[in-house]
Amino acid sequence: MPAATNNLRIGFVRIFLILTIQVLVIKNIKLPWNDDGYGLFLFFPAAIIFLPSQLSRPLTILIAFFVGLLVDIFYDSPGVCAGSLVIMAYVRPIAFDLIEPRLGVKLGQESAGYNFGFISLLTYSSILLLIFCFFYFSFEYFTLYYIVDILIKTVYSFFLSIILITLYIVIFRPKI
Amino acid sequence: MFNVIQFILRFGTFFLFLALEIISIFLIVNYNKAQQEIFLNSANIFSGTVNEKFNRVKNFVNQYTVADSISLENAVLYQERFNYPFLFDTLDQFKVTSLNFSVIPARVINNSVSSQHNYFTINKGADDGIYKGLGVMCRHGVVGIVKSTSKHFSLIISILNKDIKTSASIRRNGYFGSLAWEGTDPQILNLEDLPRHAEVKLGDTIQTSGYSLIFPKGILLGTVKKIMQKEGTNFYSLPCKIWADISKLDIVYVLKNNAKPELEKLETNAGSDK
Repeated sequence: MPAATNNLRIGFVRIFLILTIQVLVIKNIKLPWNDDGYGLFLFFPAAIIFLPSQLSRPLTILIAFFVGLLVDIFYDSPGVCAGSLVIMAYVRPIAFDLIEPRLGVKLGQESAGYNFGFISLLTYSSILLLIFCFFYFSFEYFTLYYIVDILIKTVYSFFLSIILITLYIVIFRPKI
Repeated sequence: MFNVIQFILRFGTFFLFLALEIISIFLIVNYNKAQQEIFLNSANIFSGTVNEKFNRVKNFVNQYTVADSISLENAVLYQERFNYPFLFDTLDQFKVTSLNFSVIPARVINNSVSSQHNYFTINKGADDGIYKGLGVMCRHGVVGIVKSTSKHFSLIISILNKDIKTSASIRRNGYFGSLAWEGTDPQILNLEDLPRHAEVKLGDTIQTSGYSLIFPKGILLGTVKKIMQKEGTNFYSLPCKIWADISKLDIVYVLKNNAKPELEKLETNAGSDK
């Protein structure tokens, strides 16, 4: 089996696993000091963040949309996750260019996946996760009147979620 | 066609992104109650604002129509006002035939104030019943006399013209003289030939005297600014500040004295009898 196809297969299995963990495990975590719901564990963006780099940008956006819709079904928030994941998928190449400026590798090119260092992966994930969190809460509030709340929730949830993603990077060191 | 396809291929990702975002927002608005309420509220505010702005633009575009209709209404009111005093005259012992003024609203389309002999043009002419010699006023007072007319336009001699004199009187006591421009300050006209025994105070209001066939009595013109006496004569020369600003004329009213032909005939006959 060619390495590129294998990489794709791993990518799709990863989506399935991350979604399962998100909706069956993480969704039920209730932090004792977090009654107001300011912080959410948003792990599912990792499914799109770590999608194989050989996928074209339109395909990534489409996958992000359907993954978002699936999560929305479980969170009973139609469109919120889908909309924010699509935005994150759209800006993914920009974040990718930031961590890979030297080799000239672009997303959408045929490859067997790239192994990046921990710092690079964390930087790349953080940028995308922050963007995702901001749009997720913007869609949830749906008005800029509560911009302060949106920003507080974005920062709070970003720190909670990045812990999970860091653990994921440390344990699995995903290829992109 | 090829260009269209090339354009779609080039910006395909962006269009896909846009389409999916629109679908997401559609889902958010339609299936989330809180967001739906916010959306509806915002949509109301937005549509209200847009409607208000649109109405402002519409009002701005319609302002000329509105101004024209208001000027027409004003013309009718002026007409009633000018003809009103003469109703009393008919009750008096004089039994004067009521002077009958028609008022025609018009708009100034060309104007000058910089020369010694100023004229302006209005957008009404012979077709609207205007002819040479009719008086022209604005809402702040007398502004000129019709010099000539074409089918649709009329040339008006401005009161800021050294060739024109208007009969004016002191409102308080009725002493009259003639109002003329000296050719310097466009706001100052001189009331001349006022007898020296007339009691004049600074700030006295001057008005049309009604002694000419052009303007009815009582059109307010301005106030006395300075009291001077012509040297070697028994007459005053009173610089008066006029209220009409000729330099920004817009809507004016042409005054048509319907009794003028009869009065002129009478005066001509009286002249020939002497």
